[in-house]
Amino acid sequence: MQAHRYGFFLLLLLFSYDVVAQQAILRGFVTDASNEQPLQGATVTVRSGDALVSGAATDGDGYFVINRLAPGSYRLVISFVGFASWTESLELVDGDVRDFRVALAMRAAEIDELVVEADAIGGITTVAAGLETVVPKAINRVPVPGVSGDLASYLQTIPGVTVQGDRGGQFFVRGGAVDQNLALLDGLPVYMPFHVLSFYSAFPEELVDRAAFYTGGFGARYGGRTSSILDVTARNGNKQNVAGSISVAPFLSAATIEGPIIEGRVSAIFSARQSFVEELIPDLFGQRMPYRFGDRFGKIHALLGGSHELSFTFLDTDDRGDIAGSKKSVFGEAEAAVINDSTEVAWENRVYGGTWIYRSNRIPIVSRLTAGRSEMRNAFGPVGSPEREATVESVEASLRLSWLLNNGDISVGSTLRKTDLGYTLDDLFTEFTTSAEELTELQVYAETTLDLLDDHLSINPGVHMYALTDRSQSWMEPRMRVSVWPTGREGRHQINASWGIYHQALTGLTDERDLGNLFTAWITTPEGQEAMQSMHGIVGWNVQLKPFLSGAVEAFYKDYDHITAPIFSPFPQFTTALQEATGAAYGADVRLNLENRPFLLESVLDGSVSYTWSTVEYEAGPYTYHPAHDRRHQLNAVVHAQKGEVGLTVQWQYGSGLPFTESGGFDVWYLLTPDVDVASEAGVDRIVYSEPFGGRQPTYARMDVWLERRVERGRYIGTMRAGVLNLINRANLFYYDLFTFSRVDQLPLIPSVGFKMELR
Amino acid sequence: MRRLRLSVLILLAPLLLSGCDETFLDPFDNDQRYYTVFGFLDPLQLRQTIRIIPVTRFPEDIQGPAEDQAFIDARVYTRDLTDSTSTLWRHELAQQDDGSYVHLYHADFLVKAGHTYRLDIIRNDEKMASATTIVPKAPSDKFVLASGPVVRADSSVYQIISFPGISALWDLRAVYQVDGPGYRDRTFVDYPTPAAPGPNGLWQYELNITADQDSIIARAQRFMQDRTVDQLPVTLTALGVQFRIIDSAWYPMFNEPDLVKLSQPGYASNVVNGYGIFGSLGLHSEEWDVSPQVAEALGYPITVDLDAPF
Repeated sequence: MQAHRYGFFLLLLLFSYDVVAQQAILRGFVTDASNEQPLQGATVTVRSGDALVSGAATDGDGYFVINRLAPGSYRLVISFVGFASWTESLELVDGDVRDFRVALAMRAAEIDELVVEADAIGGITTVAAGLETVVPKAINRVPVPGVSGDLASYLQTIPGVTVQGDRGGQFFVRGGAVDQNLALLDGLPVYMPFHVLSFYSAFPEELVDRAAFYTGGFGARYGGRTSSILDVTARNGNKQNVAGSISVAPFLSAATIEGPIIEGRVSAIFSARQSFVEELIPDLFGQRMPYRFGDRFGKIHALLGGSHELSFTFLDTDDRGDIAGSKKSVFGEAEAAVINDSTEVAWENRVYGGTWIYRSNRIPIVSRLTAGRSEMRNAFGPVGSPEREATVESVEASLRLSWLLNNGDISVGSTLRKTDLGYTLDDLFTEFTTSAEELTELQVYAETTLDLLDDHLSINPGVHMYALTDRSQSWMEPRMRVSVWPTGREGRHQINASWGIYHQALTGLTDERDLGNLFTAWITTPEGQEAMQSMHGIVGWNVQLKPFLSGAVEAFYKDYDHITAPIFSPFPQFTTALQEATGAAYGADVRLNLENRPFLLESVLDGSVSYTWSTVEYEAGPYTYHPAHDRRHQLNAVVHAQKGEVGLTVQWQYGSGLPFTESGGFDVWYLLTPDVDVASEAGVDRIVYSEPFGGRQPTYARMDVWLERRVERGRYIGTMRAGVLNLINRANLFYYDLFTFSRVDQLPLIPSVGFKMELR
Repeated sequence: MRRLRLSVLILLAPLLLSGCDETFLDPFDNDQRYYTVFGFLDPLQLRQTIRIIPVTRFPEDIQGPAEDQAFIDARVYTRDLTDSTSTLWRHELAQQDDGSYVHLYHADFLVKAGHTYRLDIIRNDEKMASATTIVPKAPSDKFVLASGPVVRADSSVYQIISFPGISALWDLRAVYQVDGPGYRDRTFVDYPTPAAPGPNGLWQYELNITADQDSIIARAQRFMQDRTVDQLPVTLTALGVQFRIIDSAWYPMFNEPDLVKLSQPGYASNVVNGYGIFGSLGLHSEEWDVSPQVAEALGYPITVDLDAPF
């Protein structure tokens, strides 16, 4: 502990030179003039004559700072691809602090080109050692049944992300379990962010400003989870004019409105989405569609003077559905009698909170304070009287202080989160069980991001302390992320690596043998057991093969210790009997991105193909097994052809079969004691499972085709998207009910059409 | 351009082919376990009974005798490996309290201590599950009476019995032989099995001799009703215990307190190609003559009134 403290001060001393030597400071925000959204990655340079004096890139808020400028005459130039550059001459004196707010206008000649912009389908420039930076345009290019894109569908195309089916919203990331993922919206946790139909989440394209998705190896600012982080920043509303959109589609219809409350200073954005699939297509080719979901979102953002920003975010989601909506007999062709026992799974999220950002006028420090509350309720059972209920309620406050340097930043931060967990289980085969727990987590971290060796090297070392204050337990978690550009940032090659240690005190209990069961009861690590721990290591190589073709290769290893796993039970019940397990996940993926390539009939082609090989292995009690999310091979391909206003997208997904525990049949069990008479007592029904997860489901494959026409007339944009989901009507297995020996298939061939009208 | 088109085709071909994979799945994987059996051979019974459940892909749920599951493909035999006699068991579709039916098998024979019995359950395709049990035999010198009777503060009299060398007791009955004018009777009083041996590692019972007099009195009153006798003096002439012990293959179940572990298919099972337990009990009894002096110390003789409540 002592050594860590000294190390931190040493880090501060090393980099304090940058600050004390400053003479003049330039800083400001860069936004898109058309909608006032921040432009991340804009290039800001300071020139003296033709010589480059200093430079920086804007961060996720569109913010930049350049310090240590000597008095003199300069030109400040801000540029971003597709936008007209902005230039201003400056006369700086010692101690000057200049603030800028620059709105870049789109270059008229490039507007048409941008429709087929190169990074539309997850270009490799967004990939770095487990980090995928997602922008709305990329989300839009992954088709979903509807008109707008959704982050959930985009994530499914990322190598290493395993989804169990097209319903349920369960995501497994590079070998991690569902409960090891953390989703954040404007810094606040969303415990079940994905909707009951897995194409959709609480993060539609219209509301996402940017998203950082770490499939592992995340930096020191994140903690409390051991697999992945999805950090979504919601858009601020338009501060110049009223804008909005309405879309109508059977799966999901939506309305969004945004605009200034005080022009140029305060804006608001509101969105509501609702699925009408249950009402409009209750039965589709023999498959029932008993799903209902929706979400409501709001954000108010205010610029207060030149130094302060304040925002409030609200999100409310609800989902319910009978996951086993339609069952077929084991031999497929005969539809079983309609099984409708009115059993459904339901969940709700509610998140609300605010963020205050302060940028000092005197020193290059940005402070960000976030506070809020997240709630989640999950229920399973007959409608109106669920047999199982679980709740998670957390309140938290976090502070991050960033000291901006010319070549990076130094950040320290802390999060205090108090979480109340509860569950009630009242299953047929389970004794009535209730639990109420409380957990207080304190997370403190320090990290720095530095660009070194003439921008050939970028390092992001850090350390995260994860403490459970009510248990007097704490862990130090070193982290490191590195990127190397051997031939400079404009060169063809980039090598990335990340490494870190992570702990997690929350565990989500699910019955992993029942793939169709989405109920999760959250508990803390059992007394006497160490918190779950994982170590991640990722290395990757990005290469620009041709001007239009790039590639990336990444390999990962995740080691798990102290996982909490249910004890295998032969009874058909949700069990709270737990055991400690260890595990490891490792694999590699390769992807190719085709960008802006002329194709047939004067169209332009974009696309990506990715292949992942990975394996996950757990050891629990006497068993060594590959858990239910061990997808060994996965292939995703998205190809988009654009000609003028018309675009055609074809998506193909292929996955090898997921493990499941086969049935060895059923029998009855007696605890033979002198009180038991086998002639008169029924005994207890028992399923005879084969070796845990010893079987494999059939492979999964799906092809979707979408045709879109987008027409722009001034500020109005009309979009029509029509397509077919599961074009070859493949009977992909979703889950098997071992008790009735009936199967539930994923969605069949589904035609869909949707319309969207936008006012920009 | 031609190369590009070719590349696209090459990429698409395996994708399209992979889409033609088989999607059929039969998650039933069992060609080695055929039957589950629960039951035991009981030397106190002439008719032996076991329950047999075929291990099939569907849970057994028989609501009527005409249902498919009401018919069972199983022939059941026991062979006494000690004297090479065979017995064919009879099938019964027995209705239970909840109205459902189960498959029971019965056989009438006397279980012999020390003999080895092998149970064979045979399907028509000659697939077979089997289990073997050795009927336990307790040597008479393996249990002892502890020191003499104990008189508690409430004047009740107890006799403590312990069983060194006996690993598992199924149950125990105290046996009282009483005599009176024209009257001789043996009264059996059942004692619940302790959950576990005592702190000294021995199975131990406290026979409540005073409380057990109620059973003796009740039987005497029934005798007196028949003979129209108003009063009957009876005294204790012999005291004994009769107990059943569990065979060694079955006994591990009683050492495991974890129900989840116990219920795992195959745990502590002695059934080959199946699940469950086919056990046996060994019967043993020991009696001691009671002298008039000891009988007096134990609260005898007593005078039974026909109308006296007990």
